Amino acid sequence: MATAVAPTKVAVKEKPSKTFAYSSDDIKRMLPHRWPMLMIDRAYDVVPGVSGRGIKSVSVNEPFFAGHYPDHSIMPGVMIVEAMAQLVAVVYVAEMLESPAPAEGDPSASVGYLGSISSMKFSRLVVPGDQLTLEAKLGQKLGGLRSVSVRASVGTELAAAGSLIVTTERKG
Amino acid sequence: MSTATFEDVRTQAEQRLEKNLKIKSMIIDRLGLDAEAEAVSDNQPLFGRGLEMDSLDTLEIVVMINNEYDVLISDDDFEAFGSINALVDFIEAREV
Repeated sequence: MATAVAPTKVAVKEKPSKTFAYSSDDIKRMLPHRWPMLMIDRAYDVVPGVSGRGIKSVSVNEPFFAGHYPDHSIMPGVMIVEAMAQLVAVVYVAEMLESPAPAEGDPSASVGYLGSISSMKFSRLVVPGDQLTLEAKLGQKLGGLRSVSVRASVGTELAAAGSLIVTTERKG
Repeated sequence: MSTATFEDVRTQAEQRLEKNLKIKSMIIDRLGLDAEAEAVSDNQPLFGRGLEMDSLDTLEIVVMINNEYDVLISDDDFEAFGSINALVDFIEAREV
């Protein structure tokens, strides 16, 4: 006689995901952005389609410092969000590039738009000489939309953190 | 075999109404809508002339439901967004 056995959870040791790193030259092949709007210098620990880290070194020569502000250089919060969003694009373009059968054509053409800055908190001023460490974790998707959690820090100090929605395809 | 008593049915109905109201309040808070939870009908559409949600709002709700109830809504589950009742039915069928 068969006895009902409660399903037991078997601990499966997860295989560590393969990570990728991208130089600024690689990133220029992945993103359509160029000076003065290319806001990410390097990406690393990228798990394609899942998460990644990036670096943005902030120089006094950034064009926005000319007006923000003439006597008090601080990086606009929206530019920090732009850097975060560009790292997100690197993470999802990496998924296309590193897939076993990458689609033909220019991968940067699939970079979409910022859909929503759902929440964002800025905790520290970012000034010339700072190196922003960016982190992005992609969350749920619905159609061409993807929710993401993002953070930016300088050394051990958190500069900004929040959540965004991005489109992972381009329309129009 | 047991039969539900009138009291049981009434309790269930009350719990359901409470859950509907909670989800309405959560949606209104999350999306910053200018509406009162009590004034939103359980069967009015969430899109278009109902709560006037759009696709970005929908993803916000998907994230919210996953955080709150650990229920995943995917691209194929669009019936979940017919109305508040449809959304709560969807959650109740999958909640652990």
